[in-house]
Order: sequence, then structure tokens, then C-alpha cells
Amino acid sequence: MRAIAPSLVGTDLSVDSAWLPGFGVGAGDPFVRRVQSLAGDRDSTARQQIRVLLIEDDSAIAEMYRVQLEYDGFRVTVAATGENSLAALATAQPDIVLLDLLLPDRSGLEIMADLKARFPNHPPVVILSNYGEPTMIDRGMSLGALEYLVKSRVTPATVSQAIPGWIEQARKGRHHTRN
Amino acid sequence: MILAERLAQDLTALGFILLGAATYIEWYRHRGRAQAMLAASLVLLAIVAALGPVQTLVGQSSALGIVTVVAFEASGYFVLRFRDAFLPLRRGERQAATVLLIVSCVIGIASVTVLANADSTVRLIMGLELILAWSIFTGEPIVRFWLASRDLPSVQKARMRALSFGFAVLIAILVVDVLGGSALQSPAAIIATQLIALAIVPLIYVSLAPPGLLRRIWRMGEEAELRSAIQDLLIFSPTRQELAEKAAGWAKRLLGAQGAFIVDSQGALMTNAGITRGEVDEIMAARKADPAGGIEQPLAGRGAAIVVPLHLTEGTGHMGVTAGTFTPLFGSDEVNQLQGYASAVTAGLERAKVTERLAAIEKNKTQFLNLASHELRGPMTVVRGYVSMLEGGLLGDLNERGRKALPVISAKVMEMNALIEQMIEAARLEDGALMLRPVEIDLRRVVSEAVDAARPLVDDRHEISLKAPERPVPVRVDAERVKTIVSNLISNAIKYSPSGGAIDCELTARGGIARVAVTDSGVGIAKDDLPILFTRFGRVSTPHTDHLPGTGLGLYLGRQLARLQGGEITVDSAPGKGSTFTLHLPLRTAQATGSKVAKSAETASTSA
Repeated sequence: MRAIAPSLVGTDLSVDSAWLPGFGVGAGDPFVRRVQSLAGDRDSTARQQIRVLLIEDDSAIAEMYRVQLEYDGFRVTVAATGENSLAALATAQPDIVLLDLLLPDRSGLEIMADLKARFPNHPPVVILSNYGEPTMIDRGMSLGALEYLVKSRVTPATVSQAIPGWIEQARKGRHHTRN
Repeated sequence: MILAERLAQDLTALGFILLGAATYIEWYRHRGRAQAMLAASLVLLAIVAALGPVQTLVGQSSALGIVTVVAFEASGYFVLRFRDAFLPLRRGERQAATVLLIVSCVIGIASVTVLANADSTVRLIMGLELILAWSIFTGEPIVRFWLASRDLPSVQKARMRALSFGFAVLIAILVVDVLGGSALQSPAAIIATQLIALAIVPLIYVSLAPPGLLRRIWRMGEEAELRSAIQDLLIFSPTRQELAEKAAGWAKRLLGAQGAFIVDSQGALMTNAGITRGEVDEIMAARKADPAGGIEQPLAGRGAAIVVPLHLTEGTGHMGVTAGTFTPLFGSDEVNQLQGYASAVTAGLERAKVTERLAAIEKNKTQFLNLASHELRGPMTVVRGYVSMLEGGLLGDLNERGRKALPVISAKVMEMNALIEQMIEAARLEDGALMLRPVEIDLRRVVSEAVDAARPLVDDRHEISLKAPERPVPVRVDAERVKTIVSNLISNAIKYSPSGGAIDCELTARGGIARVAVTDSGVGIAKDDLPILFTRFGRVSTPHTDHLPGTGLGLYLGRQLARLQGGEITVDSAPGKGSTFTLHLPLRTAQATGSKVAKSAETASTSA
């Protein structure tokens, strides 16, 4: 049995304002949004179907996420540029897209705008960026992202655990809106 | 009585001669077209005045009569040319004036020669023509100078009005003199008009060639304004350039100058107003006067200039003003004035330089902070991610030594992550890019969350307690950030009481202010060290605390964030006894918040 589940419950994926050591993560915080625990959905055979497209140019980060996600039973495709990501979107048929914003050829926000225009039924997009400025978050969310996460604030495990919930959320059409 | 009458007439004539001589000397000292015209006019008038007594001595002669009448008309004509030097006439106007002068001279000469014995009507007409022509020559400038003065800055305005006034007085004298001479029969009345005319003569001189005292009086208004503006000019001009521009503008106003400029120690032009770059170069190249500041002779076709040095640390720069047509004379008084002003401007320029340098350093620091922190997040993501995967067992089993090391690595990674977050928050704060997300909330909830979040840091030596009022404490704040501020205060209290003790956290609401006081019984802070506590990277260095880790950003951020929300952080401390840090936040009144607070309080009680 893997020991990741307990660390997930109530994990804080708050926006960019907690700056104190030892606080903010897993502290049981009712003010911030958190990833829902996905009890009963840790069966890797169920996840075999889930395809994840990871758009990330930093190979160290991409590789780390691939290890975690494949370990958790997802099928992972990595695209390192904006150009590749649109091709991968067509070939890999992902169920969810994890999107970095700073790519060598174009910005992730441009990719989102493109997605919206060219693939009206595109899979849900979760932004994983190291930009935590509220203006960026607002722009990402207004372009239709399901979630905006600051990479240095989350661990691959928490992201991995949240994926089925995100897909579920998108499928039910309950698009998350921030307040 | 005849003697007294003649004495009065002679004195008036003498007054005019002195006026003519003084104007001539003035012209000789400050050569200029305007001065030349004025001197010509008044010298001619002096001749007219002088010929009166001569005629009474040597008897009427047609030659003297011709000189008198021509000098009289020409004196008027030169007044118009004096005005021409200030406010150029149109070509047609100048030609018409010349024609009028010639016609008047011809009529004048005729009146004292061939027509000297014509009947009275003809003589009257000729006399009227002569006076009318003279009145046109002198009357037009009076009106023109007055009109031109309306839109000028105060020194120039005073100058133009004085000119206008001077000519008006001049006409008044002649009218009184001529009419008085012919109409008044009583010797006493003649003496009286002559004495009035004599008394007015100095007034004319003062108006046409204002002495230093008068020019100083004219400047007083500008000086008073400058005094009230100088602080703004010298202290609050953000850049050197801006200060130089403003300073040149004031120099212009102060001296009623046409142009003003400032050049730096390299001779490069910093600012020029009312003067071209080329003219500045010419003036600087032709500079001959005292290096400590003085009047430069006018270059061809231009007015005089005053150039004074600016003793800047990097070398000597210069400030100069140039005279225009409306400018009163430049004298030693103006030089002194500009020198005094220059020392103030020098101080201001030096100050602006230091400020500019500081601003550049500050900007670099913020940029560095911003870049460093964002660039650090990338590697931190990978380290933190793999550490968490190690902890999750995903990367394989560790032996016992490894399992002991892992929590230490994890804690240090978290510490480093927090440091990066603090740096980003500080950079954001200084860029003005920090956005608060205020919500209406019961402060008791926030504080209780903060205390709960701090509990993992509490070891068995410390005991943490929370006291809060029974009733909700409604505030409108960025809950996330306030929680972080309070957590930081608690974390500090734990950190700076290494030998343990109670940590008291007390929430009170009184007088429209909510207070969260965190009290420890730790090492405390000396009074002298209190001011640096809240500065960026400011940490108190003592043997008790030097070994403790910290960024020196926590309290700085805390106070800045509190202030952004209308609050404050205060401290009360005694070395060796402990400290109390208090976060103050404005309370939301019950009316203002209404049901929302009640609702949030309700949720608080249900979730608790």
C-alpha cells in the first residue's frame, strides 16, 4: 500500500500568499481551495484509461511528473514546445492537459486561446506554472483553466491524486469559477 | 516775480538737461538699440529745454527756432523708435512715422521762418499739427507698452508698465508746460507748473531706466513666490533633469529674463528655455566676465546675459539668463541675485543626483529580488517534488540512516521554499504589484487557524494559549495574509524564546480596532534595536539569536501587509523578559457588515 493517500486529504493548493515555513501545506485550511480527496478511486486499472498530456519544457520537471504519473497508472505524453503540444493533442487524445505557461516558442496562455478556438471540445486544462502573480492566475482562469497551481507549492503526488477528480469535474460540466 | 518765474523755467530746463545726460551715460554703459533711441529722444528734449532760456538771453532767432522745433519733433520720433526696439513696428508704420516726422519738421521750420508772421488761424493749425504729431509719437508707445505688459510675468510686466507710465508723465509735462506757458497768465501759476514739471523729471528717469532699488521691488513678488516654491523645487524634483528645467524657469521669472539655461560641468546643455542651443553655445564661448559670475556683453543683435557658476561635485557647471526686449536692465544686483539662487540650485542638483543613484540601486535590488526568486522556484519544484516522492516511497526503500535524514531534508526544503516565497512577496510589495483579496470574516477564525497552523512547531518546552472574545470580531481583510502574519508572530515567539515558556495569543476588539497580541517570555529586544526590526532584511544581532535561522523579511512583510489593510504591527519588549507583538486591524462595524458577518460567524461556529 502506498503512503500517499493520507498526505493528500485537505492538501492546500492555495494561491500565492503563504510565505511561512511549515505552514500552509496540509494544515487543514477552510479558507483556501483544496484538492478533494478521491476516496475509492485509487485503483490503477481504472486509471489505465486516463491519458495525460504534460506540456512542460523543463525536462527535469517533466521527467519527475512522468515518473509519478506513470507510477500511479496514467498514460503520459510529454510535449516540450507549444508547436508539439498541438500535434500531441491530436494524436495522443488526452483526457486532461497539464500546461506550463513559459514555453520556448509561445506562452501557455496563447495555447489555451488556440485550444478554445480550434478544439471547442478540448480536454480540461490545469495550469502548472511557477508564476504566481494574481494577474496571471486571473488570466489563466478566465481563459477556461480548471485550476491554476504554482509548481513549487505542490508535489507530483498531490497533482496525480487530483487528476481523476478534475476529469470528473470537467465531465459534469461544473466548471470551476474562482471567487 | 519775473525773476522767480524765469528761475523756475531755468530749473526745469536744467532738469531736462540732466535727464538727457543721465540717459546718455546709461546708453554709454549698456549699449543697445533701445537705450540709444531713448538717449536720443531725451537728449533732444534736453536741447529743446535748454534753448528756451538761451532764446530769452540772445533774443529770438530763426536759426534757434528751427533747431528747437526740429529737436522737439525728433524727440517724439525717437520715443516711437524706442518702442520699435522693444516691440517692432510694421514696415508701413515705420514709414508713416518717418513721413509724419518730415512733414512736421517742414511745417515747424515754416512756422518759425516764412510763415512766422502768418495770421493766427494758420499759426494755430501749424501749432496743433506739431503737438498732435508729437503726441502720436509718444502716445502710441504708452498704450502699446501697457497692453503688452498684460500677459508678461511680474518683473517684465512691472518694467513695461513703468515705461508706459514714464511716457505718460513726459506728455503730461509738455502739455502742462506748453499750455501753461501760453494759457496761464499769472506768474504764480507758471512757477507752480514749472515746479511740478521739475519734480516729475526724476520720475521719468526712474521709469525709463529703473534703478536697482526699483528692480528689486519688482522682483519681490516673484521672490516671495519662489520662496514658497523652492522647497518643492529643490527637495521634491525627482530627477536632475526635471530640477534643472524648473530652476531655469524660475531664473527666467525672477529676473524678467527672456531666456535661461543650465549647462553641466562637461559643458553639455541640461536645459534651455527661451533661448536656442546655438545661442547658449555662443554665449558660453564668448564668456569674458568674472568666473564667479557677471554680466556678459550682448552679442550682435541680442541682449546682455548673466552667467554664474554652479559648483557641482563633478565640476563647475553654469547657469545663465539672457535679456530680452522686455527685460529690465541687468546690473550687479541681478548678478548677486542669480549667484544666490545658483547656490540653492547647486544644492538641489547635488541632492537630485544622490536621489537618482539611490533610486537606481533600489530598483536593481527589487529587480534582482524578483528575478532571483522566480528563477529559484524552478529548481525548488524539482527538489521538493523528488523529496516528497522519496517520502512517499515511490523511489524505493531507504535504509534507516536515509529514513532519518529524509525529514531533515524535507524541513530544510520547506524552509527554503518559504524563504523564496517571502522574497517574492517582498519584491511584489515593492513593485506595487501586490494584490490583496479582502473578504469579510470573523477574525477569531483567522487567528484560531493561525494558532493551529503553528502547533506543529511547538515543542514540549513551549505552551501556546489562545484567548478570544465570546462575540465575533468582524474584519474585512485578506484572510490568507492575515493568517500568515499571525502565524509569523507565533513562529517568532517560539523561535526567540529558546528556553521555552508560555506563548500567549490574545484577541481583543475595542474602539473600532481589533488587536491580536502575541506575547512570549523569551530573549526580548533592546530599545535601540526596535527600529530595525521592521526593515527589509533587518535582523537584530545578539549572541542569543545569531544562531537562529531567519530571513529578516517576516516582520517587514507583516507590517507592510498590515498597513496595506489599514492596520499596523507594534512591539513592546524588555530584554531578557520577553516581547509582545500586536497586530492592529480596523474593525468592521455591525451596521456596515450586516448579515454577512453574522453568516460567516455562523459558519465559523458550525465548522469549529
